[in-house]
Amino acid sequence: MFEAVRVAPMGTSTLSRMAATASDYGFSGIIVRNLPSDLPNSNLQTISDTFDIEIFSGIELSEKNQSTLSGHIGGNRNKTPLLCIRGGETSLNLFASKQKNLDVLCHPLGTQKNISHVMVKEAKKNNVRIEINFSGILRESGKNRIKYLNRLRKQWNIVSAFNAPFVVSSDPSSHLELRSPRELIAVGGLIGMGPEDVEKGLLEWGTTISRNLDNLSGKYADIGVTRGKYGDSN
Amino acid sequence: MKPLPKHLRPRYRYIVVSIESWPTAKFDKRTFQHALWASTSRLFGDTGANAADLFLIQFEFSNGSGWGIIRTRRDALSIARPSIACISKINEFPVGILIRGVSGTIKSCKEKYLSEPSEPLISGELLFDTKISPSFTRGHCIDIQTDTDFIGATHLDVT
Repeated sequence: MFEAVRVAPMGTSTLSRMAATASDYGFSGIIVRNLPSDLPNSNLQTISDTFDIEIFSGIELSEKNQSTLSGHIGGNRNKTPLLCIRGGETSLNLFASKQKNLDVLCHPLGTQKNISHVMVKEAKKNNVRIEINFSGILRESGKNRIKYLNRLRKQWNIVSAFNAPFVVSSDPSSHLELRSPRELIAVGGLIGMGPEDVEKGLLEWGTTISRNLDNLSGKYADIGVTRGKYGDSN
Repeated sequence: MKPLPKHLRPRYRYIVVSIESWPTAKFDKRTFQHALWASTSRLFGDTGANAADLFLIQFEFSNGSGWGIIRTRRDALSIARPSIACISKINEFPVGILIRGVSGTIKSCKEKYLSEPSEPLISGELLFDTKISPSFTRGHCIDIQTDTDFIGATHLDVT
C-alpha cells in the first residue's frame, strides 16, 4: 500500500526519514507530492535500497488560475509519474476533473460543504482520481472535526454512488503525522468506508504510478499501439 | 471473595503501541492515559469511551520515544483503533503512534512486540543543509533542532 507525503522543504521530515517511518509502518511505497518549486533533491534509489521501500516523486500543482494550470499540466505530464492538482473550489474541481492528463484531484473539499456530483461524473469519465483525505479526522478536533467528518461522509457517498476512481491518504507532512494502513482502515470506518474500500484507495496510488511509468517508458506509440514488430508481444 | 465464573469475567485485548515525538517532548503515564480517554470520548462520546474502556497498563517514554500497553474490551477494538490513531498531540507536542499489535495476554504482548530493546539517544552536533545544528540520534533516525522546531532526518541526510 502507498501513501502520498509532503517532505522537507514543504514538511518537517526529510524524504529518507519519511521513507524509514513508512517502511516501519508497513507501507510498500511512498509518493512525494511537493510543489514543483519544493521538490527534494535526495537520491531516491539510495533511500529506497536502504529502507526497503519504493519511492516515487510526484508533483502537486496549487495554482488557482485555470489557464496557468493548463500550461503546468502539459509541461509536467511527461516529467513525473504522478501529477496532482490541489482543488477546493467548485470551478477548480470541475476544471481538474475534465483534465485527461491529470492523475489525482487532491483536497477537493477545501472549505466547501459538499462536492458536486457533476464533477464526480466528469472525473470518472476522464479517470481522474478524487482524494479522500483523512487529515481533518486525524489532526482536527471539536467542531472542526465534526464538520469535516460530515463533509467527508457526504463526499464518500457521492464518490461511491457513481463508482468514481478515488485514492485515500492521511496527507502527512511529517513522519509523526503518518499512520499505518490498518489505522487508516479503522478511521475509514468512521465515515462509512469498508476496509476493502480504504485498501483499494491506498493501492490506487501504486496502480496509477505503475500505469504512468509504463506510459512514460516510450513503449507506446499511441493509445493502445505498442512499438515493435508485428506479432512481437515483447 | 470468590472469583467470578469464567464465562462472566470481562474479556480483554492488549494493544501494544509505539510512541514517537521530538526529543524535547515530555509526558508521563497519567498524561497519556488522559489523552487516550479524551480522544475516545471526543470521537465516540462517553458511552463509546466506556465501551472501549481504554486503560494504560504499562508505559515508558523518554527522550522522544517510548511504548505502551493499552487494555481494551475484546469486542471494542473497532473503537480503540481509530481513537488511538486520532491522538496527534500530547502536551502540545506532535506524536506519532503506531499500533504494533494486539494480543490476548500481557505476557504474549511483550514476547511478540516488545522483545527488541530501545536504542539510546545520543545528542551532538551534525552538518545538515549547509549548517551545523544540534542533533539527537537514535539508531538511523536523527532529529535536527532548527531555530523554531525540529526536522526529522536520517543518517543519509547528514554529514
